Amino acid sequence: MTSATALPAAASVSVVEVSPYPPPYVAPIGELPEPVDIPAAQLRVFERFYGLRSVRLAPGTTPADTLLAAAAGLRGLPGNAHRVRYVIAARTWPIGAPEEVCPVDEVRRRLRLTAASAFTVTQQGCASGLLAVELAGRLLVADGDPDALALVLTGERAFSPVMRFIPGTTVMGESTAAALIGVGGQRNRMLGYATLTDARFADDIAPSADYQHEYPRLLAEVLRAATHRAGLTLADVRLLLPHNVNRHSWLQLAHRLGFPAERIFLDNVPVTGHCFCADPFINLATAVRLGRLAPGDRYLMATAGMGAAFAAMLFEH
Amino acid sequence: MIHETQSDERRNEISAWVTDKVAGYLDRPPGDIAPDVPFAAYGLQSVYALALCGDVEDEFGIAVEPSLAWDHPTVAALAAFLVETTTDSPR
Repeated sequence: MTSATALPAAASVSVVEVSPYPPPYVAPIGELPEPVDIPAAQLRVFERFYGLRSVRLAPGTTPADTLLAAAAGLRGLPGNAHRVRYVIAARTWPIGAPEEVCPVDEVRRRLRLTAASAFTVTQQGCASGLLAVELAGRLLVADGDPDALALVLTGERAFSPVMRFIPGTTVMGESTAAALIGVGGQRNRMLGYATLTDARFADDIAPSADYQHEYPRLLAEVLRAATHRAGLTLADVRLLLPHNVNRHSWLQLAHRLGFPAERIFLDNVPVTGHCFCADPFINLATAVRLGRLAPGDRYLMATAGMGAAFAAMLFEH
Repeated sequence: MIHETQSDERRNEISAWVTDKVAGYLDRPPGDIAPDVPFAAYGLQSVYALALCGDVEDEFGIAVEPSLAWDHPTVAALAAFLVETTTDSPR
């Protein structure tokens, strides 16, 4: 389908807290570990026009290690493990570990979240992270326990060259983020969510010319749908927290939408690169830390995934 | 007449330079690139259209919009733009 589905926001769902984890190893995009080989002309464009500079990598770690590192920064988790009902890992790539390893369950066990069910959400590419938040909200609301929480985990290890470099588009980093989702909170209240899948690109693992042509229109559609779902327009959005695919594509979209470019949070593009499903969550944490959001501000988390899925989620800070 | 000849030479030089760059990005011989066929018709990817912008800035010492290759979408159109932009106005 190519029209955005704007699902009703589950009642009073909120992001209680978000914690990013930038791994310590900083790799300039021109010096990525072998065997990634970015053509020189593309590398120049990445640095000059796309705003990409470096990525954070986590060599020698497992997927569970980097997710646990993000969760370790959640101040609200210690002492509240018994309240966590769901641990949801959102993945761009369906398979990220050998078959005998289950990173999301390993996180659940190592955090001693004994009351939680653990599972993975995927098949919407990098848009799976917002799907996980929406799903967490629905489950928590359906359960009816106002104290219950869900832990959403995003970010992946880029084990292979095809995961580390998207030709013509971006370089992938291994930063991760963990978010606690609750009901009834007021701090980051979800107002609307929209998702769109265009199955014409279902077999793509790299952006085709047709996909690149359709991309801005489809992304614009899902941004508008998420805001309209809340009875608002893009003019009401104080800050757009994007996926960090590259600076150029977002500036083009801003121009197309008449949306002020300075209200798209692109600070992390040169720092983290594109980190699978984690970008909007990492950007939320950075934006809050930098004081870019005031109470009452509406912000839009937005992302696109190969496949091709697009998603946007509107919040009130 | 002399002025026109110099202008033609410059246009030809720039056309050859643009053709070489585009052919390189398409991994095709320069002889395959016609001056009046849109870059998109050859399948020039957007990342290489931007790379061409960088090449123009480096070669001619001018700042151009990232939309350069879309605004001037053939060898002939881009060469004409570059001739006009990089030639001093008569005093």
